[in-house]
Parts: sequence; C-alpha cells; structure tokens
Amino acid sequence: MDIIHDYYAMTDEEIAGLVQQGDTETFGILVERYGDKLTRYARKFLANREDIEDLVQEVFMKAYTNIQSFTTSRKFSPWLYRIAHNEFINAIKKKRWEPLPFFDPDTLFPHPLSQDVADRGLMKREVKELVEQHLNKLDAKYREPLVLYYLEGLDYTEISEVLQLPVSTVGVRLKRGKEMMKKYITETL
Amino acid sequence: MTESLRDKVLSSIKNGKVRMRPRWHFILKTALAISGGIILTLALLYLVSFIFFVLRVNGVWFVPVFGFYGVRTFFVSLPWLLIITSLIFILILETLVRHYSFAYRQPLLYSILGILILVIIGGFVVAQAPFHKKLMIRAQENRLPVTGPFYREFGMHRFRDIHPGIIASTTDDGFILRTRHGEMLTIMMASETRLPFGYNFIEGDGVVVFGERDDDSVKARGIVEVTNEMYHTPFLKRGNPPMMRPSFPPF
Repeated sequence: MDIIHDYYAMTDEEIAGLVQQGDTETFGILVERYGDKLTRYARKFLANREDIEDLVQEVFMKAYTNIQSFTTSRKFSPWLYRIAHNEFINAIKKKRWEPLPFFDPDTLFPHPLSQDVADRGLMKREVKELVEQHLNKLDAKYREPLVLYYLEGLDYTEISEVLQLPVSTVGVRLKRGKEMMKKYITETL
Repeated sequence: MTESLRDKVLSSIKNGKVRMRPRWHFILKTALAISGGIILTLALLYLVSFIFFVLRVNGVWFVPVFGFYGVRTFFVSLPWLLIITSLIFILILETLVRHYSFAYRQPLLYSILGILILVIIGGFVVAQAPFHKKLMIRAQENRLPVTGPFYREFGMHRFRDIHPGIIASTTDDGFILRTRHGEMLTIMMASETRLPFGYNFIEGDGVVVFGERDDDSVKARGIVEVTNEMYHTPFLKRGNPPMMRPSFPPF
C-alpha cells in the first residue's frame, strides 16, 4: 500500500525523518521553511556581507550531509541553527571581522535565571523593533542571542542548544544586550 | 529567493555534489568520543590515585599534622608535575564533554567541579586498593618494564626533611630508622618533638619522621606512626627481630 504524505502538514522532525530514510526531495520543504529565516539570521549576525546567500546554501548542504546525526525525537530548529551558527562563526574567523573570545567568563559562574515570560506580548514586540534598528551597534556576543530570541522566536533552552551555553548565560546576555541598546538609544536622543 | 535556494540545494544533492553521511559514521564518531572520554577518565583516575599513593609512601601526606612547618613542607613536597598533568587532563576532558548538552547547559564551574570531585574521590578510593602497591613492588624488583621508572622516580623520592621508614631499634633519646632506601638514620627526639598521636613506638613500627637530615642523623621536629605496608617492602623486611615495646617515652 502506498503511503501518501501530506508534506506541508508534517512537522520539521517528521520531514527530517523521511529525508533520513532516503526521501531526498522532501529536504526541499525544509529549505523552503527555513530559507528566509536563516537568511535573515545571517544578515543580522554577519551585518553587511555579500556572500550571505552562499553561506545559507552551505548551511543547508551541511544539514543534508549530517542529517543522519539528527535525532527525530528532538526539535529540528535548534539543530539547524547550530549548524548555521558554526558556519557563520567560521565565516567571521576567515575574514577576521570581529574578535571571538576563546573563553567567556559569563559561562563560568551560575547566574540567577530571569524568566523569559517577562518579555512576552507588547513589550517583546517593542524590544523586537528596537533590536532591528540598533542591532549593528552591539557585539556579536550579545547580538546573536537577541536575534535568536526576538527575531527568530527561539526560547532560552533552544538558544542554549544553538550556542552551546548554559541557559542562565543566555539570560544574562539577553539582559545585557537590551541594556546596551537602551544606553545607545538614550545617548542618541 | 527561497525557491531558487531550494533548487540549488536539491540540484547539488541530485548531481552528487553533496552526499549524506551514513548513520554508522555518526555512531562511530560518538563511540570514539565516548571511548576517548573513558580512556581519559581512567588515565585521570590512575594519575590522581598515583598522586595519593606517592604522597602516602613518601610520607608527605602525614606532615601537615606537624603545624605550620609541616603544612609548608607538604605544599613544597607535592608532586607538582603530576598535579599539573592531571589538571591538563581535566581541561581536555572538560573540552570533550562540553559539546554535550549535560555539560554545556550547566555553568563551566559546575562541570569542572564535578570532574574534580569525581577524580579526587575516585583517585582516593583507587589509592586505597593494592593496585599501586603491587606495581611499586614490581618496580622495585625491576619487573615493571614500562612504568617501572615512573614508580621508582616518584614513589622512592628522597626528601631532606621527610623520612618514612621502620624503627630498626630504639636508643636512649630516640631510635634508629631504616629508610625505604635501606639507609640507617639516627633519630634524636627532644622535648619539643611533636608527637600528635602520642609515643607508643616499638621496633618494626612504620613511622614518618619530620626533621632536617644532618649526615645520618635527624633532629626530629615530629614523628607520626603510620600503618603503611609499603614501608615493609621485601628489601626492608630483612631486619632484626622486633624488640619489646618500651613502657615509657625516652625523655
């Protein structure tokens, strides 16, 4: 009996499972779903680079190459964003645009975790607008979690998986990033 | 944009430019990482237990009971080369486990402390087992080809002011100590000699004497009795028959 799949009703994880079983064509649905998101993420993360389309294409190729390492019981988006993060970091290193610290003291000590529900609703929309306007003024260290949280809609745990950082450090970076932006805004007014 | 991206990615897959790595590749990679982690952990346990072992056989472990000078001598006499090597191993292990969610979700301090506590407790437990003692005896008898020099270098280290050994005979103001190197040292006790666990020594007892050596005699700052069988190595067992336990201290 033929199994007819309604691909567009399927979750990312179900589609990834089909790709793992050899249904190569369905990988295109994942590219469609995440193409624009990753391009936006790359633009915010890498600022004004010309090779963003090539980098995003490379991310999908790496995702396809390594799709068998994906566990379908876990969420697909943090796994894909992790590949994108690595690809973009490598791109930065190649061009040596920004210094990347080897060791970050924020990851050393535990920090009290502020709940991400505090930024829900109207306040989150306002901060999102500010993030879009003032993002380029921030260090990559603070820029990336802000993009992932406010623009890409990932939660603390998912960002922690993408950046491979403690959840509390993600909270600290988001808080500091917002404070820095507030400072820039106050200075420019 | 997304459609052209989709077409580009799919055409790269179809023309074989991009190939999916098989599942066994990742299973093998994970297996290698786990094996590496296990080997590194075992090496760390071995190293840390060896540190505890050499501290005990060299008598360094016991000197902090002799007050400020004892604590100072303890830190000066620590096998720093082995400790630094262990710390490097801990950093490598931390780097290895940092890629896994159970490690990176916690602050770095927690995972480093976790590894430290694990290897210190594990190393202490292994050091109590006869494992190192057996290897040490084999090394002394030149029957340990690879790690023999390692055991002889660290396990038979001579210190200027720490003298572990066995009481060969008692004298009016102390006793004659047979060291692990087969030397005979005259130990002189005085009223200021510290005896944290009292004086109840007889010939054949294992002791650690703390005090600076002058030729073949030592003016003891402190003495502590130890029940460490390593001081009774086959070489040192060839001693005089034990004397009667003295009924009172010799001062």
